[in-house]
Amino acid sequence: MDNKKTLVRFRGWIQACATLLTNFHLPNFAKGTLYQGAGKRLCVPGLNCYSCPGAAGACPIGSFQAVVGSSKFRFSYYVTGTLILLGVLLGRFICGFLCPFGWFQELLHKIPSPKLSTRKLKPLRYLKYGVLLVMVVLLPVAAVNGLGMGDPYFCKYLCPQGVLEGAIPLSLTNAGIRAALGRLFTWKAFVLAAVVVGSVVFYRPFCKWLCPLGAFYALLNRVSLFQMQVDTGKCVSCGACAKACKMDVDITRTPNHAECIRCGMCVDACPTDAIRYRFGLGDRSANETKE
Amino acid sequence: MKHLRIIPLLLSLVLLFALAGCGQGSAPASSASSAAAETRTEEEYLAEENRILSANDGLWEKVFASMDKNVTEDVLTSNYGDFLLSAVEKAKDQFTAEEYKTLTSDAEKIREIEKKIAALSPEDAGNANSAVDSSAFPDFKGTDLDGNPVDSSLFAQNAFTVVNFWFNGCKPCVEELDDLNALNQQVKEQGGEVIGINTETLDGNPQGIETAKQLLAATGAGYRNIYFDSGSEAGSFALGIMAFPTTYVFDRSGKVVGEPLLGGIDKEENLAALQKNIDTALAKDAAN
Repeated sequence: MDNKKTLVRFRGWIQACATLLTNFHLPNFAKGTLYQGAGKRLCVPGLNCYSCPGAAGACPIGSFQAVVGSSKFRFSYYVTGTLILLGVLLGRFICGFLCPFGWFQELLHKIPSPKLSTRKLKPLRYLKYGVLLVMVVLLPVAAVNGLGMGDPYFCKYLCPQGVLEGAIPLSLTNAGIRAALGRLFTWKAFVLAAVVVGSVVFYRPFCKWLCPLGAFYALLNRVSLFQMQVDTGKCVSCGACAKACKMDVDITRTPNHAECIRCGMCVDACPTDAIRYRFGLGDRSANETKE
Repeated sequence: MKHLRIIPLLLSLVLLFALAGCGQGSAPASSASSAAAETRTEEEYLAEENRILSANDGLWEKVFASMDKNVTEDVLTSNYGDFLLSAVEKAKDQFTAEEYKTLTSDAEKIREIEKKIAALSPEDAGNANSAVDSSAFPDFKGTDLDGNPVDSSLFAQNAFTVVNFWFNGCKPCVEELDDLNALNQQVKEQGGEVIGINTETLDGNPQGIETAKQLLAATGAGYRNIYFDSGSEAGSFALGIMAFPTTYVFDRSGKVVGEPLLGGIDKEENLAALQKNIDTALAKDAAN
């Protein structure tokens, strides 16, 4: 059995399961309440709003801002530690397999429409590092009131997942929240609409250009235990992998590129089965000889 | 060999999912619907009681006004119909013979309904009891942040009580503390009071109280802040609030007036919305 393609084949299912597990308090959607138990002390791997009625855990990006923006703490060691652990274990595999908002964008991309390439828009990739640095780290720490309290700038002004999972379902069932929606909601609904429309024509535009969580995992992609491996002996340099890659990565040149979300489209496209997933420590040549 | 390589990956996936999935599901109240197939639910019975009471609204208002405000444990456990009967009995001289008769027969009807409710399966009744009634503030015993005892009777002392729910890490909550203090000064003459309930101080959590006191002092807020047990009904009421700050207006009997306000009153439109609730409460109190 060709087990290196199993993950790729079941990716859609894994994404669905991950989204469901991240948001398994389904009855809360009807009740319009939030789960507030012990699970919320833990961070989920993907971008998933704490204020989603179904959310089983906390969003790492939201938690980070909440902690650094509080008057009590200057830095969020626990959240950062969790992010580094997840990043080192899996890197952007989380984006490709576990993130609910990534899956949402992919599903939208399945809607038939003219599809546009993002190859020429590569410089926009660096925006997300700016979002991470400025909106998630600097502003919540630096732009504080007299009591040392900051706002979660990314959540408050940019995050479309918060509108999709938090504001919309809660306001549908809760009149008080509906009444409190104002200009900020209008702005963020606009951001969400832009991401939705963008996702139909582009592949994962939010992941590529804006997501601070993706940016963090991208920084760790190179050192993560989950890697792509290209067998140069099998590779015939046909270029099918680079053509198949929707994240605009040439896997043969940079197998551990920061933009690679480990979706495995290249694995699937390779006519000689030269590309595969590799997990764990140890050096590549040692693994090769064991084969 | 290839199979072995996939094992650490699967293991870490399992770990991750376990991480994402270790919260316990909040038990949905599905057992209530199974009982509803044969008999009517408690909600329906309660709705019928309310219909009976509202049919003679004016008379019952008088009875309720005459009641002892300190509702105690035995009231909650005894038959509500009996409780009403005794209240009617006590206030007998305020009514004509005919009115007295109407009230007594209403109370007796309610006593019968209460018996039916009691006959419902115990888990059913338990569910209904644990569900938070959001139309009134539950009876409670607690203390203010300085340790002075307070209880539900605080509502009876004022024509209306503005209750602000907040927590220490909430920036918009902290930013309206001075405005709430100003509001408290202003409503004193109208027979109102502002009360703060900080969800981090529940159960007398010492760290939460210390931080709350610091924040109140820093913003110059001098109105009362109170706490109670998180496991009490009042605790469920406070912890059921999902958006902060939320500000309620309660009338003299602890009933909610208008829609609770979400958002700080440092914003003009929010203050206006709160003022509307206050005006409603004042008008209601003047009418009684």
